Amino acid sequence: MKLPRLRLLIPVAVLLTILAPALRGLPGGWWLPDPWLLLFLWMIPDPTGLSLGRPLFMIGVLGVLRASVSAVSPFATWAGLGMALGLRIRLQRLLVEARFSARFLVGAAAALPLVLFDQRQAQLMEEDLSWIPGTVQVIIVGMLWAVAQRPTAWPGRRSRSGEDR
Amino acid sequence: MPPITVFPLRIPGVAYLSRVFVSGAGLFFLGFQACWPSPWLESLAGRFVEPVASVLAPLSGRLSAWAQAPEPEPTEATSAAASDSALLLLERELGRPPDLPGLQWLEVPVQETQLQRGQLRLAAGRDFALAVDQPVVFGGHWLGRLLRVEEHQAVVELWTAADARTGAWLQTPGKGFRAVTTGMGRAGAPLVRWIQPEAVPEKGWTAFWRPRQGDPLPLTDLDLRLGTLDQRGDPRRGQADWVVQAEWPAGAEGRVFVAAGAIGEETVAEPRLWRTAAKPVLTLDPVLGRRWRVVRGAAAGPAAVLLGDGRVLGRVRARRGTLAWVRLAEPQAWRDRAVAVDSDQKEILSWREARAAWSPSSGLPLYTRGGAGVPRGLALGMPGEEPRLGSKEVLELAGLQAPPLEVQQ
Repeated sequence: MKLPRLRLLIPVAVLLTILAPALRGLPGGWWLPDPWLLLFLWMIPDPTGLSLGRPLFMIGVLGVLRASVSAVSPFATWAGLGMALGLRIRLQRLLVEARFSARFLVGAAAALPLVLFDQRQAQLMEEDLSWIPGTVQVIIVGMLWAVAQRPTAWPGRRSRSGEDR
Repeated sequence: MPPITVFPLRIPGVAYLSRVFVSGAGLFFLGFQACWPSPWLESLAGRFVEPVASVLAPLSGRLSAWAQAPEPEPTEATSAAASDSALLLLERELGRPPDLPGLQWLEVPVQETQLQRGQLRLAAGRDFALAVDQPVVFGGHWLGRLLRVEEHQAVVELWTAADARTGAWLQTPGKGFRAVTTGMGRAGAPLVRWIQPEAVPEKGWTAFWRPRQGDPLPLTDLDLRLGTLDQRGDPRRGQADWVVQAEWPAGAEGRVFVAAGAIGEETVAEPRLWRTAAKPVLTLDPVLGRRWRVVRGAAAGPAAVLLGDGRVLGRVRARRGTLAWVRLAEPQAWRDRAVAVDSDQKEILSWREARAAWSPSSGLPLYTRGGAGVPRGLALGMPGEEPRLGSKEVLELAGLQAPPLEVQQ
């Protein structure tokens, strides 16, 4: 699978970082999923069988960008996005992607580590971060992933040459 | 490398296993660091983030300021803002013992209080003519002696420290007894031993400090208190000890007074305060919430708190270069890290005492207690006052500078 080019990804990530505080400041902004996580999911629709070089580089870049506008440690972002990637690789191998529930599970599981690490960071900084927005964000990411992700192979739908579409 | 298949087991390739192992170990390390951060690694990562943050955070701040309505300005000035030195003035008034012939009192700020270890770290040393074994007091209370003196700092061993032996005078209504106390450190109140002449002590007797050989005799005229006598354990089983419940004046966490025969040019040492002007950059943290502010200091330094018109608005939780992330907090959110000043009664109250003294109609102004890089005596405001950060406030970042490193000769 081909990933978007870095010369596209990095400016998008920078733009997203600049916009993130303004987005959060909008009414209902705290219910929106983490923009850096969404970008990361969008740039790697299917991590199975993929070389890890580019995703790891992007995890590094996104961690630095997120920490440039937030007090959260870049380690929390690196760990959160890294675990999101690892969980997706495991789950997408195990689950049948044609099912809505399976795709929801993959998306929600990918969002969960970052929310947990953010909670821990908030705890370390004596910030009482409510679990409700975090839970809603996990559900929204799961729903978005279930709706927006194109399965890598639909069962029973093959092209004339016999290959998966 | 293809997987080796030994019926009925399928052993994956070594390359695959090593990749899984390396990825797992890497994730474990990152997760561990995120949950239990090592300050050294955090500062190392901060160096990579710093140049990016110095460009992106202001850009982002401008955009979000344009997108959001400005915060309402505070309608009135806060009462505590103008008297940020009230605590320090009261400490000086309460803590300075009377002048004695042949002795001078050196006023030294406390840099760090470690009551559990039985130590105080002072923000002055040989540079302020301090010397080992000098007596340390606060008002009418005996605190201990200088245990170690370095060039720019010194350590006081409190009389409650483990194994510290202090001469005591147990005062009863009609008579007095000599005794020796042995500090127990974390284990509890100091034990009372060798009561002379032999007597059965009683609870509530007052224990005063008794000088040892070589101590300046005028000090005995001060009647320096240690605490009150109490019994610990079960006397019916014969397993009871006499202890002194130490009295710890809240003001002694701010400054102490050292008795000296020979002094330098100055008799008052000031804490090494660091302050710099600051400008607001971001009005929220996109991950942690709306109670966060990002400000940019005129210089990078040990910023610990953000001040608005002299009043503490919040604690700095993260620093990246000249940028500081501050969580705004009400005065009462400082809890054990705050002290209250009762100007009418001329008392410095700990957080617990202050809470007990509060009533809905009157509260006492709170000040920072100091420690962990936060200077002591900065005004927090009255309990319940919301920290507001409008555009008209004079913002400053403040902190305590670490003492210069010792020069090895």
